[in-house]
Amino acid sequence: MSDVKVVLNDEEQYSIWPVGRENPAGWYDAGFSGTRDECLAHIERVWTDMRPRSLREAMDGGGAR
Amino acid sequence: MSPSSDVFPASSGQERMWFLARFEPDLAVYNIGMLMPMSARQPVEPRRLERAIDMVVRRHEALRTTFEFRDGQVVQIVTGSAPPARLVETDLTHLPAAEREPELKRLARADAAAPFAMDRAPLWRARHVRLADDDLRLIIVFDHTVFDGVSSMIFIDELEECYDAIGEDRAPKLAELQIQFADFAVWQRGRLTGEFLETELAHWRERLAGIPADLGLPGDRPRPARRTYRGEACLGVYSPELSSRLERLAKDLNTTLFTVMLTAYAAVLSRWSGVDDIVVGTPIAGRLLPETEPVIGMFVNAVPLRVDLSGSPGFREAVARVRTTVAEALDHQELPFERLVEDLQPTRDLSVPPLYQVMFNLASGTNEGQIANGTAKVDIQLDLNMRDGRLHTRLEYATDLFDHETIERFDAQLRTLVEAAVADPDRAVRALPLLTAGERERVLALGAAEGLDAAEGPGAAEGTPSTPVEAQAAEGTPSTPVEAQAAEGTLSALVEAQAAATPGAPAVVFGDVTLTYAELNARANRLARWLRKIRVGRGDPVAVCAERSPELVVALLAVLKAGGAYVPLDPEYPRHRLAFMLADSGARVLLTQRHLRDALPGGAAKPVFLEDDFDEPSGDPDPVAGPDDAAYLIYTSGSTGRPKAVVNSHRGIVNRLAWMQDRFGLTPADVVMQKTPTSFDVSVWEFFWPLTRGAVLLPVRPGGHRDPNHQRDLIKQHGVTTMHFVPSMLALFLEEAGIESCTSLKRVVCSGEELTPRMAARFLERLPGAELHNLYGPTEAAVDVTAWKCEDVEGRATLPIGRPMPGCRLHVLDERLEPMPVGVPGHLHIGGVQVARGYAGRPGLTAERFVPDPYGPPGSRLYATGDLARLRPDGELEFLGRIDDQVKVHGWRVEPGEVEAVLAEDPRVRRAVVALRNDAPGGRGLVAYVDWTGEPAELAQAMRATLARKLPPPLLPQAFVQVTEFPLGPSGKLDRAALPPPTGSGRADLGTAYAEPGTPLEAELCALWGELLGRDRVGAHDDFFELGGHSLLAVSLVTRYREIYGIEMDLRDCFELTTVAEQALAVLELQLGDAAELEALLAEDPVEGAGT
Repeated sequence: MSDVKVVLNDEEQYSIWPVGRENPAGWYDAGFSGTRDECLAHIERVWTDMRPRSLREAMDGGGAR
Repeated sequence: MSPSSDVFPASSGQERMWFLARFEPDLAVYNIGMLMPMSARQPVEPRRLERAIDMVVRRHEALRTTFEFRDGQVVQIVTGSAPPARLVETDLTHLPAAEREPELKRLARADAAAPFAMDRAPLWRARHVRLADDDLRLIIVFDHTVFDGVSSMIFIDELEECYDAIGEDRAPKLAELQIQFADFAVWQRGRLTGEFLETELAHWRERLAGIPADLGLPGDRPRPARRTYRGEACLGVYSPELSSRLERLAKDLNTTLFTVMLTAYAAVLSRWSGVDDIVVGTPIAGRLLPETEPVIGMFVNAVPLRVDLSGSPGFREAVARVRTTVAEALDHQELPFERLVEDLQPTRDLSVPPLYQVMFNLASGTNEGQIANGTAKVDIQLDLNMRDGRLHTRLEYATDLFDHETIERFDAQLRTLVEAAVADPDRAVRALPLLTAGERERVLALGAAEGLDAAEGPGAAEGTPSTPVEAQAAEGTPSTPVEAQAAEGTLSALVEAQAAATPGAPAVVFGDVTLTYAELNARANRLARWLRKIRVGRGDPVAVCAERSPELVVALLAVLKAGGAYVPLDPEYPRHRLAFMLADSGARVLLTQRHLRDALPGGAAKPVFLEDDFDEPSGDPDPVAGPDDAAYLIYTSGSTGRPKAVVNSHRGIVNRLAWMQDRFGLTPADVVMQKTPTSFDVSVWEFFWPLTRGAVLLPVRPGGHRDPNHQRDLIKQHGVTTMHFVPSMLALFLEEAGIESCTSLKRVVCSGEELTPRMAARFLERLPGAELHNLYGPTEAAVDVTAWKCEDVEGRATLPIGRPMPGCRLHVLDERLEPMPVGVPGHLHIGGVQVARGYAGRPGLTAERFVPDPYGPPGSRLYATGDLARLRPDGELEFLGRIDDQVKVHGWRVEPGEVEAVLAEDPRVRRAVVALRNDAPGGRGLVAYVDWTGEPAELAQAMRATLARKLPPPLLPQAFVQVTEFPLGPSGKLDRAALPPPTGSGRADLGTAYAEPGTPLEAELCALWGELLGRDRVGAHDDFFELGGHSLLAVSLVTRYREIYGIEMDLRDCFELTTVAEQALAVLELQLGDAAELEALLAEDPVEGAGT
């Protein structure tokens, strides 16, 4: 049963959204769907760096702003 | 009784109405009023009309019937002949034409609202009103005990025929009646016995097993302990297009308009109540025997229709379910509703309509002439009538619960849902909209603070490092030197700017120690540089475990200056919990105090002692962190699972401080007390708000956060202007002696728990010079997101939590994240700049609780709070508790806070806490913990009596435990888990142990009760209803009292004074008839006072 899917935004923050409903603006399918628990377990595996992408890039790109 | 009378038993329906009339003698709940235009027969001739009425009355015994209570039962008495009808005549022709119709309406309502005395004939009244010489109207009102909806059609038809017949000087063409109502009543009584009765009861028992005791519609007011039956009506009409599309849909779905509209009605009720098991009552004509059809009388019965909307059916599917339900109910319609109630809900409950709280009816004839008389039989009743091609709606509602505007919203939402269902019957019922697009936009806009666009414009979505902090744009205060540099948007930058502006001003005052802004900044700079030296970098977590002291302030500031995020660890926490947090946070450095060393767990983190001298330059280090870097990680322990660290950004907390500054305008003259432990996020503003505004930060000595006495002294000594309390601690502070002299206090901020109106009132009474503000917010959204200034708190059932702060949005949503209508409870979600980054190292949990935000900038997230809330019509939010905490006792949804509020109204109650416990006497149920200043022995009895008057019985606690102190957790919040078990404190008054009668009168009453209730031995403190008493037995009791003691006890008293001892006193009081005499008597014999 796949009633929920994994979605992510430009900051590569993950969340879940019902299958069959239009994603809110700025959210994209991550290509995984399943039960709620399966989706959350998937996110637990793949979302390894929880910093927002822009922050991560700014930090990795040289520290001080 | 005249010689020509006959006596018959009353039907069970008549019995119930008779009882209600006895119980509420001033209300005419069961009057049926009609306004007859007589338009085809104008000008009407009054005398001829009287004669016509007489003819109808002669035909129908019901119109010549009255009721009496004889030998323990209600009987109907039919008189053979009645005196000729006399119309009351009212002439309105003297009034200006425009005033006549309104006056007619007023008269009609007044006639319909006047109760009938059940033992006095006739149980109807008629008035003709002359509007003009050629326009005479008839107002006619019947008691429902002798009349019903079908009767009204019979009456109109026969009256018109008789009127015409008299005019044409002929006999009316009316068929001879085969039976009269009393014949039916006798027949029915015989039928409802033995196997038939058992089969019917068995069917309904099974069909209604486990129904909710109360649908629990969200009202504008809490349900009063006793219904007043007062009501009003709200009228509406559907367009011809919608009306005909509805009829077509019914045809397409192979069913009736009744079934389709009932489905839609149940769908709206389900959304309002949050349950998908809806029981709706509907009247059934009850004239299955053909010979009953032309007879006037109370044949109508009500059947419960249990609508099952579980499993998210489509509308079409739901209609099919309802159709089956209706068909089944029709097959079992003969069992009188009263018998069903007796069998299924024999418990007395004066607050809630039994079995169902909502009704539905589709009138076959016109209901146009129906007169509203200011009563309502249930919470909401929808009456529909199709006439002239349009569906007319009439919503009768209990004004105990609802305001007119609320029912108008219900009406509008029903129509919106019906339109959507007609357009797409396959759509899931729960996906059918209640709100029109415009209304939906308006509700969403209510959730956003004004000026949101400034604070949350494009690019400001949380998690996007971008332009200088938008939150500052929300500030309305004049620019200070700080403002210009606030553009840096981090807490540390704001403090540095303040230190540069007011270097010599006191920043931290602790005992004898004062640090100026320059000194604080310099010390923090040295430590920050040291931290950088030991490789603390941007975004790194740094644990801080220190008691309240100047060092603690330096440490927090230094971590931020170094670019890290501080992880506060409360030294008072158990070691294993500290060890968990230290390991879980991944902090490599632990800032602490030397004397705490032994109490701290070992681990990978390198301890750095704050007392040490850090030989580093004292200038501001170069900033490395920006607004979107983490500022602090605070652990929260939800209801389940291990604690998790919430990561909050500078941007969020700076926005929160900006709101506070905008709201309160802190100045260097202010002194802010810091007493919240660092592990609770309230402490973040306590530290950084004063330090970013040049005010004095005044930390309370370690342990002082639990000591109201010390706090009072500090306020007076240092002129504290600003402080925070969780309500549990505020309650203690408000009982502290001498706080009136704390005149420096300008504002007190409350959050963390529900603030009650009573506590707020107490505050305003004791500290009239200070403002009180009620704030709401989770750790996951930078401390607080709403605020409400406490004013006009008297008479409120709850205090609102207010409106969103700038930069925040709060939405009350359903499980599909669609906005709930105003007034309807839903899941509170928070959006905007204060939403936290997530839970450190817990991606799954973060993804679950931080969800895509359909209403914010692209890619933004909403935090799902787990709190239940609703929007009030004025745009203020109301907090309704945790979703997980929704407790049910004996089938009732129970809000312990509601019980607490009533307990707290008693002046002898200092504080009350109500908890749901599995170890309550008598099984799982409510236990009240009361800090009680009255006589200890009186607690249970006094409180039970008080609550019984104000709350429905299911909300009555099963035990009362006297306590002097409430266990508090580390934050100062109540620790419910630590409340003692109810049996532990030696309460004796929990069971129903036998108590000897204390007086001869009590002994007599015990014997009388035993006789009535069929019991061998009744004790002085036994409860009438617990012994099996019910409403009719109560009537018998009143009758016996009258016979034996010559007194007239109010029937209501039997429901409030429920023990022998209490009633003995009431009997005595009535016998003496003089309170002064009674008091004198009681003073002589103090033992007699028991039971008051």
